[in-house]
Amino acid sequence: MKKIVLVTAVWCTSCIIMRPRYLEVIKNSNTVKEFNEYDFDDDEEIVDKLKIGNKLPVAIIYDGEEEVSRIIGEKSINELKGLIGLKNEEI
Amino acid sequence: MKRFKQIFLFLLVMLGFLVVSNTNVSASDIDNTTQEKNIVNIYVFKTRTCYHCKELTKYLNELTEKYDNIVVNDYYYEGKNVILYKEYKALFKENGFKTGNGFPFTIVGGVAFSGDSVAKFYLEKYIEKYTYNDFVDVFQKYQNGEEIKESDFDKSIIEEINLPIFGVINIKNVSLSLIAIILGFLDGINPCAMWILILLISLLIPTQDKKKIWLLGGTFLLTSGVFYFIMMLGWVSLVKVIMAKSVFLIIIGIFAICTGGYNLYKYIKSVIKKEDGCEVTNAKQKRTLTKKIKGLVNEKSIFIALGGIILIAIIVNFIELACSAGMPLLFSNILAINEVSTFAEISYTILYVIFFLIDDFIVFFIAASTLKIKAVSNKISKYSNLIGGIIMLILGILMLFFPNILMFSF
Repeated sequence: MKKIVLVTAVWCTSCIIMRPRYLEVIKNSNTVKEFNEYDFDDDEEIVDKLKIGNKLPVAIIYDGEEEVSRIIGEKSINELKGLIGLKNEEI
Repeated sequence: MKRFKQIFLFLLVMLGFLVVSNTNVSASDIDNTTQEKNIVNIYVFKTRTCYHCKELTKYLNELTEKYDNIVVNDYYYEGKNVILYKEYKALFKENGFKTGNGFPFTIVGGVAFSGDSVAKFYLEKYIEKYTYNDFVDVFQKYQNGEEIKESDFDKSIIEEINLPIFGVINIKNVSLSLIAIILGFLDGINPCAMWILILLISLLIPTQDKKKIWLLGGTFLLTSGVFYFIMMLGWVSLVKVIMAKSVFLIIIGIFAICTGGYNLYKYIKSVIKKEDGCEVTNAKQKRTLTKKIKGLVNEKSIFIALGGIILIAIIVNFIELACSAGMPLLFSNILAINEVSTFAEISYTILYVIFFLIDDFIVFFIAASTLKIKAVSNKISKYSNLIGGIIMLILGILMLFFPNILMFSF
């Protein structure tokens, strides 16, 4: 059971490009059960705890409660599937 | 994304076309009839120790063997020649010639050259032209105390080339325009200034209030354009002042090479790390500005909102100046080197700012008319780091080692 936390910002062009891609991948996925999006400016406390570095968007992938990987910046949908680990699933 | 690629390709083709077309004007363009040859006097101001003067003397000796109708008159920088040198320098400078500040200084007919490489490049063309065509020997005319008219001067070969389709075009004007377009476009692509516009659009679109979007977004762009234009003129004036000392040409050249190198480093890093995204520089400052703009967008009074947007536009463009100081400084330096008139300075700077804002205009126009945001991928800014870096490296090297090329006297 996977969970994704996505950090974006209203002023970030890459975030505007990536948000629909994440939603599409998650919509068709059987594994990702939870998806939360936080805004870099509005959700300052939560975002700062995640220590996301200096690039946006950042997607943090959890397996259960344990963080397994991070996806930074712009990726194609196929890259996303691979990085989230959905490739061999039937989508 | 595809449209931007087309714009990039078009600009590169234009640049390539112009570099190729800036080749010599072949001698055959000059009318070679069997009429009697004119005597062509060449006047050379020089010093006894100057290396470049010796180089030019060697070249002139070769020319005198090749052309029997030329006479070389040497004027060593001594005695009364010192005043003569200054007078002729001033005379030609007033009439738009680059007179530089050293030796050799060569005059033939209605044209003057500073330095040996430029003289070697053009002298033969003018000799061939003057051999069979009437011309004004400005040096002699001035010596005789006659009044010198603007029409006596001759830039026909230096600054003009005859191109198919386009006909006669002025190299300097076209080249400076092209540099204004390319540097302005590359300066604009960098994400430093774009994020505020995206923020504004992203906040305004949900209001679905087209009038408000055009008003606030348009005011932001207009203010940014005017402010950036004023800043650019400031750069140009500053560079003109410091350019008086040629050491600054070296400093700016080194600065350009370092900035170009840093841009290339950023490109390579993003290729290796595969992280094309939005950079979060100075999170605290970004959050403060974001909150302020959110407040302004929701502001009931349109006048307060407008005032706030104007202020924010100025602050942001001021902050981002450091982020993109490289290109404006380089551009200002090229204008200064070319000793363009104030009117030309302003025109080229306006052209620069138009292309600096062109990507913002496109994004804003699409958003305001469709109420959808067409985000420009950061992959493009990655390539702007690459292209911008290469161009800055080239310009920096030219400034250091071949400044006359930047004066478009190849």
